[in-house]
Parts: sequence; C-alpha cells; structure tokens
Amino acid sequence: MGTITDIERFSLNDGPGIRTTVFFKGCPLNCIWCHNPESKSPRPQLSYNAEACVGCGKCAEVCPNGVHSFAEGVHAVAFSGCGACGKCVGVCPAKALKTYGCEASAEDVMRVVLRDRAYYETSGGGLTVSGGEPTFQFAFLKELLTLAKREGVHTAVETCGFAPTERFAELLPLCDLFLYDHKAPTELHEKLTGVPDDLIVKNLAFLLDGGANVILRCPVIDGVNGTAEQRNAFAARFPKLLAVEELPYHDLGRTKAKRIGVDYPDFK
Amino acid sequence: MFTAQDHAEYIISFINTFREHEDAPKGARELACLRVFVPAFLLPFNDDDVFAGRYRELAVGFTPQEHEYQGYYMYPEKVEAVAAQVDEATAKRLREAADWFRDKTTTAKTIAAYPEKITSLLPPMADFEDAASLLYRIGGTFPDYGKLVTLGIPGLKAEISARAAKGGDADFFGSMLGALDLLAETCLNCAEAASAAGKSEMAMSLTNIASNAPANMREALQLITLFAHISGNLDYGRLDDILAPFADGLDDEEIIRLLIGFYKLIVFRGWIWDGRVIVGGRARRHGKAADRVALLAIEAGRRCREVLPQLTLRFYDGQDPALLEKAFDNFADGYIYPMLYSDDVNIPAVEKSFGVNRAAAERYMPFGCGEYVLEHCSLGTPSGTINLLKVLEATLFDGRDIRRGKQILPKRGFHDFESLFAAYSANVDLLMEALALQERIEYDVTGDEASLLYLSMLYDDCVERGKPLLSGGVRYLGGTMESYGNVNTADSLTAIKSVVYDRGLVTIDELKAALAANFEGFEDLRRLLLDCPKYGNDDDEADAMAVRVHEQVCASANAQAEKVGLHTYKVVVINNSMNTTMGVLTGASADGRGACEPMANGNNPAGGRDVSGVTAMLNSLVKLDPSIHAGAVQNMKFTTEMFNKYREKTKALLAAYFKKGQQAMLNILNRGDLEDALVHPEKYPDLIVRVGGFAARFIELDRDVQREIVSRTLYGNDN
Repeated sequence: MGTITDIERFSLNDGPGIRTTVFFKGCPLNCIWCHNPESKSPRPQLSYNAEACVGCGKCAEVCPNGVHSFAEGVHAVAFSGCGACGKCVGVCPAKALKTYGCEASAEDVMRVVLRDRAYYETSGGGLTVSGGEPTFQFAFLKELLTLAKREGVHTAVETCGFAPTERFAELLPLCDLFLYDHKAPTELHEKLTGVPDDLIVKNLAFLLDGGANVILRCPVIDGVNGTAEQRNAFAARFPKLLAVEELPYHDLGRTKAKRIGVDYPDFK
Repeated sequence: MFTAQDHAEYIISFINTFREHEDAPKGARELACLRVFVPAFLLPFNDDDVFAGRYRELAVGFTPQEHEYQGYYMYPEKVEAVAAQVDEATAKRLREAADWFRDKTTTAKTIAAYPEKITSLLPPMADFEDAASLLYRIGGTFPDYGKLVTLGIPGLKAEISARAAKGGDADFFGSMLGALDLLAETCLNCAEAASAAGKSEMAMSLTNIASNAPANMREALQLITLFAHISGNLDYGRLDDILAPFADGLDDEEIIRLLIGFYKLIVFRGWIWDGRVIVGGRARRHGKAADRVALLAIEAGRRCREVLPQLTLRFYDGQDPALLEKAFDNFADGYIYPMLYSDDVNIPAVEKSFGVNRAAAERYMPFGCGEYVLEHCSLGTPSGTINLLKVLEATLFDGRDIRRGKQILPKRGFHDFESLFAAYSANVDLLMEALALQERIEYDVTGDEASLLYLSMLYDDCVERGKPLLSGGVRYLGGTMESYGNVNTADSLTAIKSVVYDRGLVTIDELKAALAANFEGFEDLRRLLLDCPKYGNDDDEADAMAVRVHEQVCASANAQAEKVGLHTYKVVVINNSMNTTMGVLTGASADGRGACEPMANGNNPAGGRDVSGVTAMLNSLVKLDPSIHAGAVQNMKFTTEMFNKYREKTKALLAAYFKKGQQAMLNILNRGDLEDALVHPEKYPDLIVRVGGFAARFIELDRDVQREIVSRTLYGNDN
C-alpha cells in the first residue's frame, strides 16, 4: 500500500506522449518555492478552502477531534489536531473541505493507469510517477513499476534524486525514463531545498553511467535559484542527458499551502 | 418583386391545380403542381452569386421536407398572413382555397390515417411536452449526384425513356421525363435572367446544362444546386467524389472559389440541421482526384467560416493522412468543421446494425444531425422523438407528468429496482410501437400521394423497378426515431438504485417527494444524488447503467421493424437543441438535475458531470455499442490551445478514441470565450459552436441553449 495525492490522466508535460501521472505523497526536500506543498508530508492531510465555506457548521458537529470551530461566525481550523479521518469532508455541502492523500494499493493504481492504455499506444505515452518524491515510498514505487513493466507500459519517474544510490540501482531495470530534477546551483542548494546536492549529483552520474534515459529538469525561479549560465554549466557536465527542460514557476503552491495550514515563505 | 398579391394568386393557383388533378395519377398531379410551384419558388441570384439558386419561402407547395410537413404542405398561419395583406375579394378566394386544401395536405392525410394505438397515446403535432412526439418529413435523402452530373438532364431522360419503352408505370416514367423538362426550363429561365444581368459565365453554364451533361465543375455544381432546391434534397453527399472528374485542369484557387460559391447557397438555405457535404472515406471511385477535392473542400469551409455546410470527413486507416491533417489545421484555427467519422468503426457497425453487406455499409452517410442512411439506396427519416427522462418520470409517478399532472402513460407498479426498470422498459416499448407504426403510415400515405419524382430518378432501383421511391422503389425502406435524455435517465437510475434500493438511505416515496418539490427542502438528498457516480467518468457502475439504458431503447426500436414491415427501425442518439427544449419541459430528476434544466446532449455526459479528465470521458463514450442504432452524436469541447500547442498528442488522443469511437463533433474554443460572450456578445460575432447535430453562431442562440453549452466541460491541456 502507498499514499498518493492524485492520479492525473491525460498528463501532457511529464514525459513523452499521453501519460497518467501518479503523485506520491511525501518528500524529503523542503524547497522554499514548493509547487506541491500538499505532497510534502507523507500522511493524508485536510484542506480547507475558506472562500467556498458557507458556515453551516456541519463539519464541527462530526469532527471527533474538535478541529473545526465557529467563533463569531468565523470558521477556524486547528490543523495540528486533525487526523484526516475525512468525516467532515463527507458532510460539507459546499465542497470546501477535502483530504489530500489516500491509501491505495499498487493494483488499485494500476487499474486506473491501464484504463488509458489505448492512448499510450497511439501517443508513445505511459505511466509517470511523480510527487512528492517517488523514492520516498520505495517499496510501493517498485511494486507499481513492476506491475507496469509486466503490462508493457512505458514508465517514467520524476525524482529529486535525494535517495540512497542503491534505490536507483534497483530502479534501473524498472524505469524507462528518469525526469531528474536539479533545483539549484550547488552553493545554494542546501539553503533553498534543505539538503546539499552531493548525493543528488552522485546519483545522476550513477544513472547515466548505468545507461538510464535521463531528462534533466530545472525549475526556474528568477532571481532565486541561479542563472541560465549556471544551469547550462551544470548540464554540460553530463553529456549523456537526453534533454534539459526548464520548468517555469507558478504560484499555485501558495494557495494550496494556505489551505492545508502550512507556512509558505515570501522568497521573492 | 413578389407581392402579397402574387403570393395569394400563387397559392390559389397551386391549390386549384391540385384540385383539378385530384383524381389524376399521382405522378401527373405532382408534375402539374411542380409546374406551378417551381417558377414561383425559385429566384435567380444575387449580384455576387457564382451560381443561380436563390429561392423564396412559400406558404403552400410540394417538397419532401418542409420544416413541419411533408409532401403537399400548407402553413395555415402563413396563408392567413398573406390574406391579411390583400384585397377582400382575393382574401376570400384565398381562404376558400385554403379551407378546401386543409385536409388534403399530405400531413393531414397521414394524421387522418392513424389508428387508436397512436391517437390514444400521442398528440398528432409535436409540442414535446409528452414523452414522445411525432414529426413529419421525408428527410435525409442522398440522391445520386454522381449520376446526375455524369448523365446530365439528357442522359437521365434517355435512361428513363429506354426503361419506359419496356413497359410499366407510364405515369411514373412520363412524369419523371416531364420533371426533367421542368428542370431544363428552369435552367433556361435562370440563364435568361443571368444574361440580362450581364452574368455571361453563369448564363452560359445554365444554357449548357439545360440540354447537355455538365462539361465542367461549374456546370456540375450549378446543376446540383438547382436539382437540390427543386427536389427538396438537403444533404449533398460525397462532393469530393462527385466533383473529382471535373477537377482536372483546374487550379486549386479556382476550385475553392467555386466551392465557396456553392457553400454560400447552402448557407442561404439555412437548414442548419442538414446541409451535409461529405468528403473522404472508403468506396469513392475517384481515389487521388477525390482526395484533392476533399482537401480543397475543407479549406473552402475554413475560408467561409460559416455554420454551413456541415462538412463531414470520413477517414480510415490507410487513407491519405493529409486529409486528417487538413482537418486539424481547421481545428487549430478554431473552426469546428469538418466533423470526423471513422470508417473503420462505422462500416462494421452499419453492416451489423442495418443487416447489409460490406459494400452497402461502405455507402453509409451521416445526414442531418447525425442519422445514417446508405447513399441513394436507403431511407431512414426520423419521424418521432422520445424523451426517456420523461418516460422515467412518468414511470415513477404512476404514469403522470409531474409538472402538468397529466396522465401520459399507464400506471405500472414496482417494488424494487428490477421491477422499476421493467416498468420503465414497458413504457418505452409502448411508445416505440406507436412511433414505428406512425413512420410506416407516414411512408405509406406519402407514397400514395406522391411519386417524389426527382428523388426517385436518382435513387438506385426506382427507375429499373419502375416504382416510385415510396411505392416499392427504394431498396431499403427504413425508419429512425430520435432518443433524448438517455444519459440523464441512466444517471438517475444509477442514483435510484444506489440511494433507494442498494443503500436504503431514503425510500422511493421520499425520493419522489424531493423530485416533486424540485429538491426544495431536500438539499441533503440532492447532494447525495449528485454524489452518485455519473456517466462520463469511466466509472464502471455509472457506465454500465448507461449501456443498459442504451441497449434497452435500441432493442426496443429494433424489435419494431418487422412488425411494421420496415427494413430497419433504429434509434438515433442525435441532438439538435432538443436536450434543452425538452429539459425545460421535464421535472427534476434523480441524477440531481433540477426541474427545467437541460438534459445531456446526445451520448455525452450531463454538462459538468464529467470530472475525471478527457480520456475518462472518451472511454465512457465508447462503451455504448454503435452497432445497434443508426447514429449517435459525440460532441466535445476542446481548447484551441490544445490543438496548437499539443497537436501531435491531441491527434494521438483522437486516434485512440477512434479505435472504438464512431464519430466526433468538435467545439474548438478558447478558455473563457463562451463565458465572456455571454456578457459581451458584440465581441464574438463569429464564434461558432456546435450545439448538437448542428452548429450556430453562439451569440444568436437562446440563453438557455447558451448556458447549456457553457455547462459542458471544456477539455484542454490544463485539465
């Protein structure tokens, strides 16, 4: 079993062809600009959209932990006490509440993935595992990729590279394509992501030496995580890369962070 | 100048001619009436017309398909409007003639022939309030225009004369010859007017086709135009193959110019539910030459950028990929045509559904809003409608319509889901029997009244057999009926099964109370119903119910053919804007849809209920078997951005869909345009959308229809 935040069908930007992207929950990095803050924690989380709330109070009635309160008509959510049991989500008439993250078996996920096999076949697409960080739930990842390979489905893994090298060794036969992030120049890496990049760089070299197909992906947050020259210089160290892609920054992470009650730094 | 006085004199003259020939053989009577009708009906041309082929609407006349009538028709309200504008003596003569004619029209005679089985169940003229309605037309005809332009008027006359010499129905043959003479005279009259207006090229071609087979593409298109108008044919068939023999030696721009001129007259006709120009596909005779015309026909459509013609591209594995590429160019440009039809799915489906061999199935033609017939060898006019959601409503409420309280179906008891479904099915069957019987009667009465001379001469077998189209002439006499509300019915049944019978969350009486109250005071129950699985999300439970509803109604129709002696009797799951029209007349439904809200369009998910992405939506669509009906509409909204930015992936998406999907009608839009056009219509004069089986300028649609289109999910690369 694993914990996933979403399964996105007809995914067009995470590898070749038409793909189904499965988002794993949980990530060891702590990027200040995180696009998907809801997938940082490995556990399911409650999300509350204040704009949609109609103030009916039904959530407070069913919550076993007193997470929801309505003082003077203002709906306050005590996220820290929430176990994401989902009771409040079921009764919310305005769909202002939802849970990020659900438990699923690899077979469950694969059943959804296989529904779009026809589209993979006409487009050269397949399954992409993203996150969060897929290698964070390693047993689950291996199980899912093994099932995909058995079905002849093309597999891609989008990774930040921050995992023991042995894990990448195990992925080599299971993964047709790595979408491999390098998020910042070495000297800024720890400050911006919470971890140094030495292991990440080592794993990248390992994969390329092992004959893996790797596309390097670099998020671009202007004025924050380095320059085009720095990115190019980094990529030039790895001539076996299939391609280098730049990922533009978007602001959706900020809204999502607010809804799950976590801080989102003002980094720009 | 055609004054009210002229119109009045024309009407009197037409009715008198009919009266004088009342007991004459039907061919002679039809020809005599056409001789009065055609000269009054046709107008020569406008200044910038490439072809002659304008006409005026007349209150009385003869044609297989008027808007509400078939055959000898009369619009009493239009006659009255004319009477109000003329002197008293003329008005008196006019009203006397109209009074006499009232029960002589073909529609009136059809209605008079109904047995109690029909009259006890259905009102004679459609108001769409009841669960089923009757329509009057001999529509969806595809005359053999390839033959017309090859033989021309003299060649057709020679063929008919040769057959007549062998004996048989002299009235039929003689009247067809007379009808061709009338067509030739019409060409000459138009030629004269063209000549007088200094349009020498037009005059020359009209003069030539009056006595010779068309010598070039211009003459071919001119002949088709006039023939279509006079015969009342509204769908033009495989234009690429028809015109291919004339394409040699013409440069692309000249062909496009001619096609645009031809299209303009289709636009002028304004039959937005018809006007099919079909290109591509198997079993064309002219291969590469036809492909070339097909490409130019698609380009001409893009340049015209009108709601007509309803350009239709048939394609198959192995066809020149340039044709589909060209279609994608149009989509990337935000233009909705051509509609796409996969031969690889349709031909086997038609083979099975129509019970014909492969060669015949390759002649399938989508007409009108999406019904199939076989070109110039079968008929399948849709002569009735059913509103399945209203059937379910009445089944739940002891046979009553909850808005009006009127008893529209028998009361049938039920105590669990299966007995509910059985009661619903029995009601569908009851209506279907009446609808099929009506179709048979409509064909028989029309056939007794008229030979449909022009159509007969260009339908396979009629001349050879010496039999008019509807009197044993046409090879396959089939029928169709339009089924609406299928998807909402399925979603409602899914919800009833789940909430009432499987989970026991409410009783059937509580549910009925909620529906009767349009959910007022039942908001929680409504949410429960809305949260039940919905068709369009690749959900096994919801889609299985959609399949069950689909198969039930199709089987119900199919079972009628033998009973009424038709080759086939088939459901079509098409849509005009009837999903909105009928939705307004239908109470709240158990899928969570509020009273008077639109129903889903054709086979598509109910607006906004498909929330699982485009592949899930497409997967749901292809679960409905295409080999048990005669056409269904799959209408999809895509962003222009998707076609531009992800063209290859979008092509792959549709290629996968078309492994099982029979057709797709695409709406190509920018995100936000429709919403903005509701507020600022002046900014969107050319925003063309597909409503269902037809297209329209968005800003010209009724508000309800606009909202329904907005409610449909717009798929792009960002959702």
